[in-house]
Amino acid sequence: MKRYVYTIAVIAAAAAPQLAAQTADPVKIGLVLSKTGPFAEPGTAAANGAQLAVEMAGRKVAGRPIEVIWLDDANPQSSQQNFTKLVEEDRVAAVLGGSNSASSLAMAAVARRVKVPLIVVAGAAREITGKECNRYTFRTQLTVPVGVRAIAPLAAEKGKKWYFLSANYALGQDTYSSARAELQKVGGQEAGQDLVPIGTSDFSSYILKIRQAKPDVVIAGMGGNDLNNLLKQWAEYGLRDKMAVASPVITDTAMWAVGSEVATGIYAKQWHYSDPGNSSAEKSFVQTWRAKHGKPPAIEAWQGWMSARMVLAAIEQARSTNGAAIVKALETVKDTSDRNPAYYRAWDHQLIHPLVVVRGGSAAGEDKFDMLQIVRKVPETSSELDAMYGSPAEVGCSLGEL
Amino acid sequence: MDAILSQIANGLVLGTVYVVVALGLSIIFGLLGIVNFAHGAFVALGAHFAVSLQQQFGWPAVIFAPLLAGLCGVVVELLLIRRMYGKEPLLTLVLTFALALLIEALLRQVFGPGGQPFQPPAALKGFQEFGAILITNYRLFVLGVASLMLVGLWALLTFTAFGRILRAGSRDAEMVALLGINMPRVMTATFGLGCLAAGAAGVLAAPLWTVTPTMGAAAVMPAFVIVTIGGLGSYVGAIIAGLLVGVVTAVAVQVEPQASTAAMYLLMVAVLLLRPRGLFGERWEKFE
Repeated sequence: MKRYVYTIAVIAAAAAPQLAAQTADPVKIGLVLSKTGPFAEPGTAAANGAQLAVEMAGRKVAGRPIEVIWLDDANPQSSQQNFTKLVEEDRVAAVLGGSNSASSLAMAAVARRVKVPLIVVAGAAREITGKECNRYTFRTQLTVPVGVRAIAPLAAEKGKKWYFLSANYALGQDTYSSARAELQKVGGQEAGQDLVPIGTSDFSSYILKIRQAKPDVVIAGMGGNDLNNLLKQWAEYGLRDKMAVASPVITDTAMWAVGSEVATGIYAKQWHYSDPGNSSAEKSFVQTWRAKHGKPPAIEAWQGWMSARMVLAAIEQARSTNGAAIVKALETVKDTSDRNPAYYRAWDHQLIHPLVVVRGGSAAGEDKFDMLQIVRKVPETSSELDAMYGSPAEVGCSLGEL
Repeated sequence: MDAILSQIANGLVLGTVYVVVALGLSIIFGLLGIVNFAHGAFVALGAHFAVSLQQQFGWPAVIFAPLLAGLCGVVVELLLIRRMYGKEPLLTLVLTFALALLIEALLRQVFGPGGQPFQPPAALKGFQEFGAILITNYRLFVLGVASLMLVGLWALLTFTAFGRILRAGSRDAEMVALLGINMPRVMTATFGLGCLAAGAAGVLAAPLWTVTPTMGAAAVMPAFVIVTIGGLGSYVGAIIAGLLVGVVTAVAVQVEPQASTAAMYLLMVAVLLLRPRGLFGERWEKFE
């Protein structure tokens, strides 16, 4: 009998601090973003952006402290494993992740199964919020067709003879089909089309072909080092001031990698750090970031920051870390401060946010990092905003049940 | 036809950069029997040294970048590679692969994961047109420097005592050592020389391609293909195979761009079917 009492006393003693701590248990947010490999730079920027959103929220949500756990996204398979690990071992409330479309799609399938919300930070493939969409997956990055629609008018001003240079994977193929449709709308002419193997370091042979085809605009459906190499050799062959390059997506790091003498092109961007139209929260984000990292935040940093901000707002609203409750809250949370509304659209979970069309060029002002100049905000009126991200028929998403 | 001619000229220039990478690989394999998976990392190392030296001391200092890469090679040989001689090839593969990852991680620590802006010097900007052929001034410069290096390396291997020891040692290191030659020192120098060549290729490529910690991977795959096509350890073979790979890739871009990366592998398959030792491969007793 004595022994039983003793056992019960031990159990009670062990449980007591846990009971007391329950209300102050940390809310865990998982990150699956590249620390190594070709996506290390955007992955790290996005992770730092998310961390900064947590800091700016005072490291607290719904009265509980926040804990951020960051695991690597080395490839789709490891991203899935790390997602599962975060859910099963760390019991995270939500995961921000996906440094590219392939990892994002891989994790989205797990998110649906384990019913933990995934916010895709950087994955542009339309399927993520299109055919392959699900109730537990949200996406912050803008999609290729939206970017193409934004740059098409400016590209058409340069001329209606377009050459398509597309990296041979989802991004390039998506860009080609979307841009060709836009070209047909304005009655333009296709000067040529090349599918470039991903990871091409020398574009000289393509540039020679393009010179012979004499287009007005080259639509470059590529990102990362592929785009950097193209821009670098574009300048080497003296085409920087002669022919326009346009691409539906751009990262600031691409400009920083090629440098002020080479920077060029027409691009769509969800946000730009020096945009005077940024909200006051965004301005303080830029300021804090610059103080901390010594350079301005790239677009991926904003994507990480925005994703984390939305998740924290949803947890605050739901007052719960239950997956389904967070999903429901994310579907309704709306950041309407200042001029730029931001919200995940309820029927496809795409972040709706105005875009800026930017032009690359030498850094003109005091800021040696600012090689992208804002040409215009798209759309001009906020009533067109929702339509710009596509109608249900165009997007083709059916979310399914919670 | 003009288009093809223009692409062939372009491919030849591109080929010379590949040749410089491949030669370093070939020399190291020939004497040391080491398949150096870290070779690409030394290309990246050379490019990053060039960026730093140019920023700190201006263009003339860039000439020291390959030497620094070679010096790193010497240190690596003394600390690690030296223990691998005569061991199972698999061990050296694992070691050099790990070394490649380590160098890449170090570069990422120091320079950050992103690209470093680097342009050709102002004097080498612009391009020349010869009929249908268009070549940028910097690429002509690369062609010149690479050719000089190839001739210099050839002279070193053919006319100097070091070259004779290296060539003899490649065939039978034990015999050369028995003749009283300090083989360990020769081997260290050889590994350093190979890494110097890789570094030089990195410096030449830095104004052309984006300078990132991972840039070596893109340069080293063609180099492996070239060494295989040319015949392992063959100097002439590496040069001819390098130019061939450059031309085949460039012409493939003109005709069927999706297949441009695959083209060199197809070339390799074709050559290996006809000549399993590669174009200039000979029978080497120690590898039989």
